[in-house]
Amino acid sequence: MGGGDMIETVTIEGSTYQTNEHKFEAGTPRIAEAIGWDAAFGWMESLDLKQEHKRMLEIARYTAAELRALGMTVYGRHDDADSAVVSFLHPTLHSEDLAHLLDAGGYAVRTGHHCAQPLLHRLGISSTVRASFYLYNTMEEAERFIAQVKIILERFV
Amino acid sequence: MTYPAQLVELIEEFQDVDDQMERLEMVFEMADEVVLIPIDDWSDRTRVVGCQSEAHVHVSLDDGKVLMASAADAQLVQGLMGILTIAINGSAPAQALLLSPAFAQEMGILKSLSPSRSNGFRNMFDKVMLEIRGLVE
Repeated sequence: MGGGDMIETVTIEGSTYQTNEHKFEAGTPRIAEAIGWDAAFGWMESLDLKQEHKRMLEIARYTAAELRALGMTVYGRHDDADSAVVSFLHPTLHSEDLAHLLDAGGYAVRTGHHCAQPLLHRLGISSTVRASFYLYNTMEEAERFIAQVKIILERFV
Repeated sequence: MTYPAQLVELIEEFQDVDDQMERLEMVFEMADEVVLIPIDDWSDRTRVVGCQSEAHVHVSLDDGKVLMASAADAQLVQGLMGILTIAINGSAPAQALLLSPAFAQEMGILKSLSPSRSNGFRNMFDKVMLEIRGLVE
């Protein structure tokens, strides 16, 4: 265990501090994080990442198709080498409004220009909503996400 | 602080709602309360800086009373403008300037909003108050 490296001396009269960068590192080192990091690597190594990529893409393709069926413009093709992110836009409901409404139902999405203004400018839009799927997501979650989008559209559009 | 009667009523209505989605729906409905700035009149002068969406406000005096006009491309933002419109439109400038943005917290609407949107509300509120001060000084 560690900690306390910031101090050089402590007396009743006063304290002196290390002169190097350690003086800024008060408290317990990130022991819990290091243990978590090890567990995360162990979990990642237990997975067949190529198979997982295929599974995530299936989720993304399902989500994209369902969103298109609901009248959304979906950006991206979700080809075999693509990542499982689905960017979309409703013709009338503002992306940020949709994101807040999804958040109210417990779904976290990204909204805005995603630091890709040149691309959005080329597409003639100012923002999209983006749902991202990764190793920990399931098809059932995507189905529930789509169900929530349907509820929002019925209620707010 | 003491709020105008119409705002007190609105605060109570919002406080009665526990469901976040329902509260957002109420904010959406408030979008109809704005005195709308036509999109052709949106300019850098009317733009609320620091708002993630396009948001515009302009304050003038009508017969000595505050007249806030506003518009946004996101319904939620325009709803927040509608709430502020109810709070200050028709008030004497001195009375409007007494308003604190804390009323939004009392309504619980900032609980429904992300930090960026909450900051946007504060920026919008500050711009309106600055314009009112500019009109009376």
